[in-house]
Amino acid sequence: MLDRLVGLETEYAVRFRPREPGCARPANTLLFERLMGRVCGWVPPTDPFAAMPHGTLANGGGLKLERLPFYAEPNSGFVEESTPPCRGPRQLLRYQRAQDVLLSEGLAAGVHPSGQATLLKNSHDGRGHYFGCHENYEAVVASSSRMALWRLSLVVALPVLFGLLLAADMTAICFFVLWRPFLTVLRLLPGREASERSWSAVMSWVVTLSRTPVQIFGSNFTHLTAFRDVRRPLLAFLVSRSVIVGAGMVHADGRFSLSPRALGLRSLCGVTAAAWRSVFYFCHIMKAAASAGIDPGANRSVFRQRVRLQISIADSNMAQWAEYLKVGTTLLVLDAIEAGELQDAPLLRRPLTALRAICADPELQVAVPLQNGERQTALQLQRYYLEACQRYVEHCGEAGEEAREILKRWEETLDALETNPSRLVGKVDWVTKKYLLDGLGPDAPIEARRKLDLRYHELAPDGYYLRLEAAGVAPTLVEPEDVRKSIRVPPEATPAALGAY
Amino acid sequence: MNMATPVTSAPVLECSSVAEAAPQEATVLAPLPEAAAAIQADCLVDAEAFLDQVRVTIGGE
Repeated sequence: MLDRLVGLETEYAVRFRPREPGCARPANTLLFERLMGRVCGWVPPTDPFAAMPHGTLANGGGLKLERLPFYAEPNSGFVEESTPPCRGPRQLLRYQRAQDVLLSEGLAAGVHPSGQATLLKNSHDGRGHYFGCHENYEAVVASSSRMALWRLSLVVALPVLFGLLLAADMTAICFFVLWRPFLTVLRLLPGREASERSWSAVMSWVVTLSRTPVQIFGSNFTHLTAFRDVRRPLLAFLVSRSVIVGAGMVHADGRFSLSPRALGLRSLCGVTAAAWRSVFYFCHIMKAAASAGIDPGANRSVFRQRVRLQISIADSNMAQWAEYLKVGTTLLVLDAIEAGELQDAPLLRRPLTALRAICADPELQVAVPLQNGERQTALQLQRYYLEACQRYVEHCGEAGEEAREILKRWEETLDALETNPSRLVGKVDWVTKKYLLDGLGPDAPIEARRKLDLRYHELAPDGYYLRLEAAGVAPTLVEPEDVRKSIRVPPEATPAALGAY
Repeated sequence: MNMATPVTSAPVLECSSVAEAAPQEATVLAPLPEAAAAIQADCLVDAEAFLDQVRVTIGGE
């Protein structure tokens, strides 16, 4: 129980505070290169000759700047870190926080003379762009006859995906080459930044449109063949889990939602990002397809029975309590599903609509329709999964202390959400953020509310959540000295510790 | 639900079982109103400039 490999990928926005008003902002690419330089000076990468901007660190974690190809705006991209694969939610929490500490200290040491850069561990920026957090769980992709079907369909699908991807990128390259001279002229005119932003928007749509066939084929292929026995009973759990793991968000019109990430999701299964962010994201299939034309042997791992199930429905969490429960409860539900429990799990009629409805209702009263005609609130759905996991842990002889700890915290959280959510200030991000926003009062300017929304996530001593933690009002579940040790040492009993990195 | 109301009675972050909780959790209590007030005061300063300093733009995933 809780023994499968698990990892988190966290995306960070970059804030740059100029020393002098009017100073030009350095490009995110430059800031990232210098951050990598700092970090690699402290923690040697496993492959010092690896091409920037990617790096795998000594603890097995990864670091990169994520951006679309051909993207013209120099400030574009966000920093993405991945933990090494871990075992259990507490070990994972320790390694995720180790990455936070490493990155924030790297920037605090100074990466540019004209100002100070910091990271925001959130899910949207000041301009309304969405990103977030990816959870990776080792899980059974299919069993018995479905496994044979999965492998057979992969043999057919990978070359098709490779061909579609090649055609998409060739289209984008042609567009880029043809229109690039116009951008050069535009850059000579006044309003350079606006021109570059327009160019970026155009290129973003070109890439999105050219990859539409890839998404349509990949989405249908994975929906029909991958993790069918897992996804079906898991979905209502993931959708309703937002009441525990949502980071909270202030809209431009002042409305409050539980989760910004929920607003950016457009499909249940997907193989490519940009305009089609999906709940289940099969980027490893896409990478296998991309490598198929270069090194056919490199994609052998996708044919295994236990592979990575990537879930992209959640926000990044500042609260350790919420992050611990995000991973811990999901691990328990996956264990129960693979053990044959949860055969009668609730099935949502329209999962994405239900997700948006739940996230739009901080009162937690909305009831979403199920396929059997009933309606249930997110808390009722969570209660179903909690009770099913309690029964599963009770009957399973090998349940350890950590499984019981997860169940206890899960129940405590649901009890508080039902009766007195303010008990969860410091433990659940959206509750904490709403508490702070309500204290601002109804007449506070929208800019102040949006600043609170974003600065809550800043990884700096004056970031709002970290101030609460320093004041002792937000519980920590991992010891700071263990976090610091995890910066350099890979997690025990994992591929990283065995030298796979 | 308006969660500003409980400020006067300071929401208490408590553990249902102190004996089973991690050591740091058991000691977590109350200076929330002061910390919250400092944060709320900071929100009102240069909010627009702050928002402009946070930029990601779509970068893929």
